Amino acid sequence: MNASQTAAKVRLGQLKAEDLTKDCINRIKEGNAKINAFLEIFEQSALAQARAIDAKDPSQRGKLAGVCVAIKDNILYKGHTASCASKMLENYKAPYNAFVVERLLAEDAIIIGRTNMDEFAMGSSNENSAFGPVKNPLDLERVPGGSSGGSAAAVAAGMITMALGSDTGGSIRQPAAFCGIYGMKPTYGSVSRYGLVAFASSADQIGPLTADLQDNALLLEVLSGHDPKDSTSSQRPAFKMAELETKGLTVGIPSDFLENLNLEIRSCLDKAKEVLSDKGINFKEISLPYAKYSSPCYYILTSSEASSNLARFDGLRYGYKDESAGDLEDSYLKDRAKFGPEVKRRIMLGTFSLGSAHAEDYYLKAQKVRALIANDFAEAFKQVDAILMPATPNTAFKLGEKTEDLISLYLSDLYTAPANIAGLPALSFPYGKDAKGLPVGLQLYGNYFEEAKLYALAALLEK
Amino acid sequence: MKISLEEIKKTAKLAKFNITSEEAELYTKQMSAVLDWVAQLQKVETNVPLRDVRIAGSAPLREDNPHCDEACAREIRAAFNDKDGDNLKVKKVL
Repeated sequence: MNASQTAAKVRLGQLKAEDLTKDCINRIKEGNAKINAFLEIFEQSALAQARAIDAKDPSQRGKLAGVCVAIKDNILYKGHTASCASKMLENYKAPYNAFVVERLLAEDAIIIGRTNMDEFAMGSSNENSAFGPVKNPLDLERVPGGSSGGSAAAVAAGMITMALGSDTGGSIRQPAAFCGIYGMKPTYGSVSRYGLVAFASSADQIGPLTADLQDNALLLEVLSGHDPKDSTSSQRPAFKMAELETKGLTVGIPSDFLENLNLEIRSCLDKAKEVLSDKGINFKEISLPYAKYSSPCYYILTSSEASSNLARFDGLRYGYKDESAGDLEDSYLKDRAKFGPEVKRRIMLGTFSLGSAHAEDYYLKAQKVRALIANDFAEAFKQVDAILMPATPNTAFKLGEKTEDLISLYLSDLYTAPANIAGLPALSFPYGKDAKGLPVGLQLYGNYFEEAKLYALAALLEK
Repeated sequence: MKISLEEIKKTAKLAKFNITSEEAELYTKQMSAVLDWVAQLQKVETNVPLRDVRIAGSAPLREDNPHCDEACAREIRAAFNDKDGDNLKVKKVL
C-alpha cells in the first residue's frame, strides 16, 4: 500500500493513525541497528500527533493523514534535535519549524524521526556522519549514497514510505539511485529553504524520496509553494500533479555527456529509451558541451558558500561551545574543532577559493562556467521537453572503497550536479539492475517548473 | 595546482581551524589533488555571449516589512541558552 492509499484509508476511518505509527516505530526499531538510517525516532511527538489525527473528524484529515514521514537531520522541527549529523550541533534543538515541516503537519503527516546524513550534507556515501555510516539495506557492505543516505535507506528498507532529503549536488537523487527508490530535486525556488540548515544557499533544495512514483509527486505537492520567509522562493503557483498527454513529447539524449558510460548502466538507459519510443515519445540527440564541468564547478562554488554559511558555527551564535576557551581566537579554534574532516576540507577549499589571491581563478571562474552550463540547458530545452541520462556513473559502491580517493568520490555527482548548477528539476528513478543485482538509477531533467512532465514520463516506464 | 604546506596552514588559520602538523600534511596532499582536478575550469573560454537564464518568477524582492512581532521575539530569546531577563549573554571573549 502506498502512502496516498494509506492516507485515504485514514481519511475514511478504515485505518487508525496511531496503529500505523506504532507499526512504523516497531519497524524502525527492528531494522535500524543494521542500517543506522535513523538518528532518532520522535516516538512521543509522533504518537501524540497520531492520536490527535484519530480524534479529528475524518473529513478534516489531511492529504497525508497518518503517513509516517522522516526528515533529514538538517531540517528543523520545533523542540526536536537537528544535528546535521555533526558533533557541532549534537545538542541543538530547533526553535521553530521549517516551512516543509509546517506543510507536513498541516496535511496530518506523522513526523516519525530524523535520518542520518553526511555531516552538513557534505558527501556522497553517508560515511561522513559523526554518528556512524548508513548501510545500504540492499547490500549491507555497500553505501546507500549521500548525503540523504539515511532517508533513502529508511525508505528502501521499508521502514517508511516517504522521507525528506536535501539536494545540493545530487544528495537526494544519488542515494535514491543507490537504494532503488524515487528522488526528486525540484526546481530551485519551488520548495522553501526556510528551516533547512544552509550548506550552499544557491544550490540547496529540499525534495521528496519515496518508494512509489505517485507518492513522490504527492509529497512534492505538499512541500512546494511560495514562502515569503525564503527570499529565493518562487511566486509562481505551487506544483500540482496533473494528467499529462505524453505522446509527442521529445526527450533529449546528451551523447557528448555520456561518453565512457558504464556499459550496464548504458544498457538500462537504452532499454528505457526503447520503451519510451514504443509509447510515442520522440528522441533527439542533444549536446551539453559544458555539463562535464559541473562537478568541479560545484565543488568550488558550494565550498565557497559553505565557508561563509558555516562561519556561524563559532560557539557564540551556534554550535558547540568549549567552556575552557580563553580569548575570541582560542574560542573559535576550540569550538570549530568539532567539525569532521570533510567539512573542514570543504570550508578550507572555499576559504582558499574566495581568498583575494585566488578568487579570480577559482570562485569567479566557476561562476562564469556555471552560466555556461545553465546556457547549455537553456539551449537544449528549446528543442526537447526533457533530458534522459543516468543518475549515477556507477551503482552502489562498498563502504570504505572510495575513502582514499576524493576525486572518484566527488565524481559520484557527475550526472546530478548539473541540475543544481542550473537550478533545474531532476527526477531519479530505478530502472533495472546491474550484474551484482544492485539497482540502476536513471534520471530525467526538465525545464524550470516542469516537474509534472518528468513524473508523467517516468510513469510510462512503470506501466 | 600544488598547494604548499604554508598555504594550507594559512588557509586553516583564516577558516579558524587549529590543525595538527599531520592534518596539515594530509590536507596539503588532498587539497592539491582537488585543485589539480578543478584546474580544468581554467581552460574553459568564458568570454562568450550568453542567454539570460534567470528563472522566470523566482527570486523576487520582497517588501522590507518587519516580520517578527513580540511573540516571535520572545521565542527567539527563549531559544538562547544563557540570558539575564531580555539580555542575551555570551561568554566574555575579549
